[in-house]
Order: sequence, then structure tokens, then C-alpha cells
Amino acid sequence: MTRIFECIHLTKIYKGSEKKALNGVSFRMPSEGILTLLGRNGAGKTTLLRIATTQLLPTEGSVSVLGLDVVKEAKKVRERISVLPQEGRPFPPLTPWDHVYYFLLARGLDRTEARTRAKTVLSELELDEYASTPADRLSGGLRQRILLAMALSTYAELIFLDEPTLGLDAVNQRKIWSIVRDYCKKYGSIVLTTHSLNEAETLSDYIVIINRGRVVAQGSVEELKAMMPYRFRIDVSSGFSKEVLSSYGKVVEVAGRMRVLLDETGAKDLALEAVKKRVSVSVSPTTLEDVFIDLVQEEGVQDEST
Amino acid sequence: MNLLKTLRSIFILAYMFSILWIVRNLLSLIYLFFAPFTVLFLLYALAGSEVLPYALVGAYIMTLVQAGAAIIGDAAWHKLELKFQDMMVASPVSETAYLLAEALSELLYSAPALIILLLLILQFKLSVFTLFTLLAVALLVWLSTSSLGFFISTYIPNIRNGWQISLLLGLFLAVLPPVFYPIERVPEYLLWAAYLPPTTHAALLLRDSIGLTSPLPLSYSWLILIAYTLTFMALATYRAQWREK
Repeated sequence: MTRIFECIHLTKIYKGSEKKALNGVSFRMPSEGILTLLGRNGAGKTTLLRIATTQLLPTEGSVSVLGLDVVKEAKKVRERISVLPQEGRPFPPLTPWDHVYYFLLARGLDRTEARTRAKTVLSELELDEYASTPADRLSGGLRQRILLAMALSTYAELIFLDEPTLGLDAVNQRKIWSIVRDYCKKYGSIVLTTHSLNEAETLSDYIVIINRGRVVAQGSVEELKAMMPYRFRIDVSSGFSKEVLSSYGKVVEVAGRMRVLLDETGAKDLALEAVKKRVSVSVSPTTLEDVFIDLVQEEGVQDEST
Repeated sequence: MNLLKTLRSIFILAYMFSILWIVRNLLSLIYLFFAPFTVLFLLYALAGSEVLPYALVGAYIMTLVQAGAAIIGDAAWHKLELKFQDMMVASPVSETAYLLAEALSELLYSAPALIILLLLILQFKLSVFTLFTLLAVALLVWLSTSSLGFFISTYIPNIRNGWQISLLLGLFLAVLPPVFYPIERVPEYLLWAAYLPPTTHAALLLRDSIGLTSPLPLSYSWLILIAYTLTFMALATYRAQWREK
């Protein structure tokens, strides 16, 4: 079976720097679908994506895209992938139609095929009513959709999206999520970078969490959640001291409130105690955010101690 | 990609960067069209009709240099701001095709002014030799300055520097050297510097084709211009790598 996307001991040190932007990154996309590279700003996600899309040479290690080595077989890789760069912008006076149609022609499609695809993709991305409007007269969300339309219209086997919803409002973010999901069902696989936990949890079939250039965890959302010993979280705003809460589970401070991560028994006990004290608390299952913060915080502490 | 497909990609990208822009935004053409004629008018107003052959040759070369130098700002803009180059890297389009598309698009912007200037120069001497010289020199100046422009653009850290260096290159190649004025006006101790820029030799060749004699054998000027073009093209090809280290 062809390996869709795989990194083996990937390391990158930029010229003039001693810091490792990527430090021995290894993972494999287990099946077709959406793989998300999740990490904080500066974690190394874009560096990894630039190496995978043949824009940057690795210092050590290898990356395989669709079974091809990105260094030795870059030309073949380029024919089968497409990329949406981070914070790209369309050409101001050109229309969404101009962008998609001429981009496809430049990539080598014939006119009929380019026209058909441009029509389909603009309609799928609900850009058809703006097809003849210059990009500089469109909103930020629509402009981002033009770039996404360019990338998706290639029907490439693997598409790389670097922070596709960065700076967009919630409505536009959800619109783009739904487009990306639909594309994946119909045409090919997607590798996505994001620092949005909500985006990663909603879209991903497989998540690779990167922190300070290293993979700290990988798996499906459920697998990642299962890595945590805690199944529940309880947010407490008053009535308990940090010391008392620590006896129930792991305490983290979130925006001035105490959040306790705990197992089922601990959750029951703390909830009952809160009822007795007539203190309002909120109980919910742990989310990817809890996993992420737990992992990244631990990694941070380890880094600082070494 | 085979050769035909590569050529098609070059023309489509150049069309997208220039003609489509002009159609959608006519303002982008106005400066490039009028700039050489305002210089012509200024020289005519200052010195009368006897400087017209020099002024026309100078305006013709200046327009070509502007086309080549503009690539510095535009290529840097496409790469750093729009990130369009990143999208092209992950595609079957080669780096050389992309470079040529950028260069061709700048030439298309300048084409209306160039055609009028070419017709005006031919008024001084209408011959196949003059036409050949005008076209051959145009090709060499465009290729050399575009290659130099692209080479420089790969070192540009931000877009403002791109526009500034583009203007600076225009001054050094089309205003300071004896492109608009006779080389005989240059003091003897500065002659070596006057002969350095490729545009000096382009001007000597063009002037000769309309009957103004050159102090240097023409074969020297052709050789120097070709050598510059090949060197700048080699530099541009060396730097036109999709992948960074």
C-alpha cells in the first residue's frame, strides 16, 4: 500500500541558526483522510509542511509523499500535490474565476477541463455569485476561499493546507471546514496545519501534535483522549482551595478559574461535594484541548528542567 | 512537462500577471506608458529637435530597463506577500518557466510604449538593418535586465526594498550612463565607467543603426551586450531554485 505521508527522523536547522526547528520528527499517515499537524505558533508545523511540499530541504531524515521521496523525486511529487500557503492573498484586481481558471491552465489542464473544474469548484465553495467580482472588493473570508478554490480545483491526490482558517470568523471557519471535509470525501487526502484545537478536533482523522520541533503525541482524537488518565473536567470558580481540589485530580488554572481533570470516581465525589457546599461547578468530558495543554505543558516543564 | 506545455504555462502566467491585470485595472498601464514620453518631451523642450535621436534611443532603452527592473518588486511581491510562488512550487510548473513568465509579463506592460518608440526611431532611418538592431538589442536588454532583476529579487527581504532597488537599478542602467546623451560628453577620466553598463553598448548599437557613429567598434558592443546577457541569465538560473536550503 502506498504511504500517503510519512516522515522519518526529520530534522531541520535553518542556516545561521543552532536551534532545531524540527528535531527527529517521525510519523506516518495511517490511511486516506485528513491528517492535522497541531501545535502552538512556532512549533515547527510550517517548516514541516514546506519540506513536504518541496519548498525547503531537510537537514536530516526523509519525507515521503504519496510514496515518493520529496528530495530525490521532487518533480513527481509536485505534479501530484497542491498547497494553500499560510496568509496568502489573491491578486487584487483579478476575479475568483481568473484565479482558478488561469491557475489550472498554467498547471497544464486544457481549456475545457479547466472551465468545468473552475465552475464546479467555485460553485462548491459558494463563490459562483462573486465569480466576476475583483478580489479587492471581497471580504477576507471570500478572499481566503479564492485561494482554497485554487488549491482544491487541482483535484490533487494530497493537498496541504497551512492554517486555512487563520484570522477568519467562526462562520467562515465552519464554512471552510465543511468544504475541506467534502473535498476529502470526493477527491483526495488533506494535510492540515493548525493551532486551533476546535479545528483539529472537528476535522481530523489523525492528529500529530508537535511542540518545539518534536512530536509529542499522535493518533485519532479518541486515541489522544484515551492517552489521558482523566475522562472528565470540572470547572470551579469559587468555594474550593487549590489544595483541596488537588486531592481530587490534576488542577490547571484557566482564565482565573480552576479546572480539575479527574477520573469518573473523582468527578462524582467532587460534584457531590460541590452540591453539599452549594457551589456552582460545570462538569464535562475532557476535550482535545485538555489533552493538548496537558501534553504541551509537560513537554515545557521537561524542557525547562533539562 | 514537455516543451509545448512549458511554453503554454509561461504565456498563461505572463497573461495572468499582465494583460489580465491591465484589462481589470487600466491604471496599472498608464505610468509605464507615459513615463518614456514625458522624458522625451522634457529633453525636446530643453534642447530642441537635434537631441531627438538620442532622446528616442534613451527612452527606448529606459523602457526596456524599467521592464527588467520591475521584476524585482513584482517577483518579491508574488513571493513574499501574495505567496503565489509557494502555490506554483507545488505544481508541475518549473522554476525557469516561472522566471520567464515574470519577465514576459513585465515586457507586456511596456509593449505599447515600446512599439510607439520603435516606430518613431524608424522615422530616422527605415531599413531592415535598423529594425533588426532595434529588435535584437531589445531582446538582449530585456533578457539581461530581467535576469539581473530576478537574481536580485531572490535576496529581497521585504517588498518596500524591492520597489526601491528596482528604481535604483533603473537609475544606474538608464539615467546615469550615456543612454540619453552622447558618450563624447563623458569626461575622459570617467570613460571606463561609462563603458561598464550593458545599456551604454545598447545605446551605441541603436544610435549606429540610425546613422550616429559609435566611437567603439560595433562588434565589441555586440559581444559585451551578449556576454552580460549570458552572465545575468546564468545568475538568475542559479538562483531560480524552487527549494530553499
